[in-house]
Amino acid sequence: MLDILLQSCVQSISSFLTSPYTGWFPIVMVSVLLIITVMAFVYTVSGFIGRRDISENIKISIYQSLFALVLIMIFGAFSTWLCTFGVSNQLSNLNLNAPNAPSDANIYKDALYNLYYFTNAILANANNNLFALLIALNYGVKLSISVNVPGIQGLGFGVAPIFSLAGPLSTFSMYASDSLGWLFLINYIQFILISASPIIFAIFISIGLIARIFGISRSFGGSLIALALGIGFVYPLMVSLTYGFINYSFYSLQSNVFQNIIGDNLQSIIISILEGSATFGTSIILKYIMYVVNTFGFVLTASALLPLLNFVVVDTFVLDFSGAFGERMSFMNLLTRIV
Amino acid sequence: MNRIITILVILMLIFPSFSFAQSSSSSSPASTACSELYSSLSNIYAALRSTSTYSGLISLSLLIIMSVLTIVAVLYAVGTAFKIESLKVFSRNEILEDVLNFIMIIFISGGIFAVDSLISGLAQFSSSAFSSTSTQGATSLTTIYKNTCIFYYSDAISQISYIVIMSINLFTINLVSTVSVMLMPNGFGITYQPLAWYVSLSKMIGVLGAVAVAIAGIELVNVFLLSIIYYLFPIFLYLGILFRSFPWTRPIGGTLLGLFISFYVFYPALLYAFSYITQTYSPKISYSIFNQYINLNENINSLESISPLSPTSAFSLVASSTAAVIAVSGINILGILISLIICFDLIEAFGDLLGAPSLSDGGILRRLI
Repeated sequence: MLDILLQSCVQSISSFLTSPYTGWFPIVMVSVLLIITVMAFVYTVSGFIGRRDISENIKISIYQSLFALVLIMIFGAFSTWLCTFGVSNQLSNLNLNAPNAPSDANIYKDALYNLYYFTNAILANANNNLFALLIALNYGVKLSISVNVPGIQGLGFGVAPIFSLAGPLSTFSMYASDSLGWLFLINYIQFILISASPIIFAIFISIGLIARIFGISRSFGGSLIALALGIGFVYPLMVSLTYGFINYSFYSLQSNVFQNIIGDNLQSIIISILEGSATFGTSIILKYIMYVVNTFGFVLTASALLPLLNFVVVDTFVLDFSGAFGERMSFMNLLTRIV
Repeated sequence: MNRIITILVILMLIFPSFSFAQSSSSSSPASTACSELYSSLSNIYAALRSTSTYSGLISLSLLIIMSVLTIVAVLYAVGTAFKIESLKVFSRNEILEDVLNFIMIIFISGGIFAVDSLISGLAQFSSSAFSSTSTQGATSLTTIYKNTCIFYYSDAISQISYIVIMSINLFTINLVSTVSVMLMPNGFGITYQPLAWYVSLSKMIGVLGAVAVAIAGIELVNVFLLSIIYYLFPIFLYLGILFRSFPWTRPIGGTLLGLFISFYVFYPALLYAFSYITQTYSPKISYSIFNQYINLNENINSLESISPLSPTSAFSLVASSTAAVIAVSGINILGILISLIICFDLIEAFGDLLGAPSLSDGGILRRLI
């Protein structure tokens, strides 16, 4: 199902990313020629009236228009390369991709697959285990026992305990459960961003390149280009790389690290404390607790820190690139306001 | 009865901190887990650290540097010929950036091992201030990461076992708190629960347990963060150099290099030094708090001989014993926080130096944190 979804998505992306350059190129060419003609006329007039400052500005504007034309050709080539570049194979060779990742997928398909895999296989697995632990901890019966003192009518002792392991461990589980809810939310926001990234890339870069031709909208165009490159190229690249590593390493660490190592030691300590009263059931629960804690620790680290890392890189890129091409724009400011 | 239960509770609470204080030996479960953590992904380790993996990236970086140098040289010539000062300044800066890139490529051309030696040196230098023997563990990059992992993992396990034991204690406390004496002749009378105040004690343990949960969570995250840095971050060095080669992508290159230098080089070295401080002094701190607890217990016992203050003694003892368990871990958490703050500042400084001024200007990291 995911594969069909991704396939149709990528096919539409391929044509969508590159079509503006072929479709809009004649319009851009006409605009640039028109601008250069007008500028040349103004340049001649400024020479007659002796305004060297206007001449200097016109020269810069003509260079900028020509540069805009070069930029359109560069980004046209870049978009075509972006759709055909099989980043999935490269990452799989480095063991930085999820198991069964689609071979020869482009950057968008690979990023979407890795994020999907992490959310629906690893994060969901941690959530299910935690849910099972919560049930196990809170499972219990309340018994009420009353004993009459023999020989004395109406006098007795009673006790009504609840037989469950709830307590600070439930506190841990509740915190973990709340955190997982937020982590799912962070991943869904990333899903929206990744799904939108090719569209943002195609639309914003096309508009940005055209806006860069005209003097009054040059800084706005530069900012759009920077934002489009940040979200449309840098962000999917970082997601592919970071989540690919987590997806690949999870199952190896799960069998070698998360299970079977800590449980035995913890169990022996508990047994020594309880003076040999630990049972088979206790050891299973303790091992399971340690497995859930380790898995949750790894998933929490990956879910909370990787978006942070990716967003820092994207934001720095957008800030500095937009500064070089136009007006400075902060991606994080936009994102935090949306969130 | 109260005193026996209280002492039982205290012994149960105090026990794990001592049993795990010594748990960083080579055969401890934390040691086994960390050894597995730093060896089970050997294929990723080999792939991401081999120079041959990046030969294409390095060649591409060199090609871009040479192309940019040629273009910049032409621009400098044009600037000189037409006396365009801004073009000359831009060209001079670009030439300096390219020279810096070239030096970095030469530095890592033999592999990332030059960086590894730098980390070992940093860790040995920072930890030598606390213990002469501590530098023996900082002989290689993997040992530094592994020893730091063992330290924080064993402390996290001690917190988790403390939480488990508290749960068992809570079960006992809840059981005892429901004991009642009933006087009901003809089905009507009174029920007296002498230990009902234990419910408050269980709530107190629940609140203190939340602190232990937070500490265990932060330490576990730190353990796995270190492993992610160890395996994944070498790729940022090479990607950073590649992106830095091209003027327009210099900010992202600078950011990746800043992240690499701060977190791959300085973060483990700082944590290693901090772990040695607490490893050296934590038994003393635990012992000191335990002694205070003994004194407190004696004082309360003498008070109880005058007046029955059992609830007070139970609350005080639970509080002091919990302090003994989480005090050392609290210092560890401080070590993590201080290291993170230093590294965030370093990212900004290195980012600024390597072409990503927005890391410091925009205050992105502060805004995110």
